[in-house]
Amino acid sequence: MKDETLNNHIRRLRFENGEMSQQELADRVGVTRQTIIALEGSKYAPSLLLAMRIARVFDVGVEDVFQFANANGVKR
Amino acid sequence: MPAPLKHAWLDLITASVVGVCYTVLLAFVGPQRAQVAIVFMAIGALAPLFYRRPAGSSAVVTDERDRLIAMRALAIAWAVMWLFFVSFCMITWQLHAAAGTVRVDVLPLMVTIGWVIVTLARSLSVVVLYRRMA
Repeated sequence: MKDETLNNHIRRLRFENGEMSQQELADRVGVTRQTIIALEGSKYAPSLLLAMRIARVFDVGVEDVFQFANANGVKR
Repeated sequence: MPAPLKHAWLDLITASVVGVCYTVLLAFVGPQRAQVAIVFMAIGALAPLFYRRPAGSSAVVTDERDRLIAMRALAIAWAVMWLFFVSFCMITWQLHAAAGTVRVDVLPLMVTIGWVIVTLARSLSVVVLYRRMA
């Protein structure tokens, strides 16, 4: 379990969507700005509901926002 | 700084003040009168101020990450509470076994010291968890 990582492209997607600020994204998905910071730094794994809300904001699929990789670098 | 983290720092300060005052007073007035130090617990009453939402703001005050951290800190504090409670009972029993009875004024002592230790455990856990998940 420890050799698995959850990466994300939230920061890139924010900039691609009108240079959205962290606070604006936080307001739209219903969390604090600190949680968005933690998400972008891969320090926190979101709940399924939060992940889907974030994907909906950017109008992409959940797997376009979050990527799950194991120690061998195999992305799922 | 998130509201729950501010709350944890306030609890840390409150428990430390109570603990230090109790320890200092212990040397001068004895264990029973030293419990007047618990009056400083009232500092903790300021905590709800951290959760107030600014007027006109729609920003979220706490979210799922804050609740997750709170649950983990509570689990740690629960374990510390049981460790303290069992230890206190066993030590008290050993100290008073020869007398055959335990003085009733030991009970408020258990509550005061227990509150300080459990509050320190919970608030330290919150601070550490926020550093790890931020």
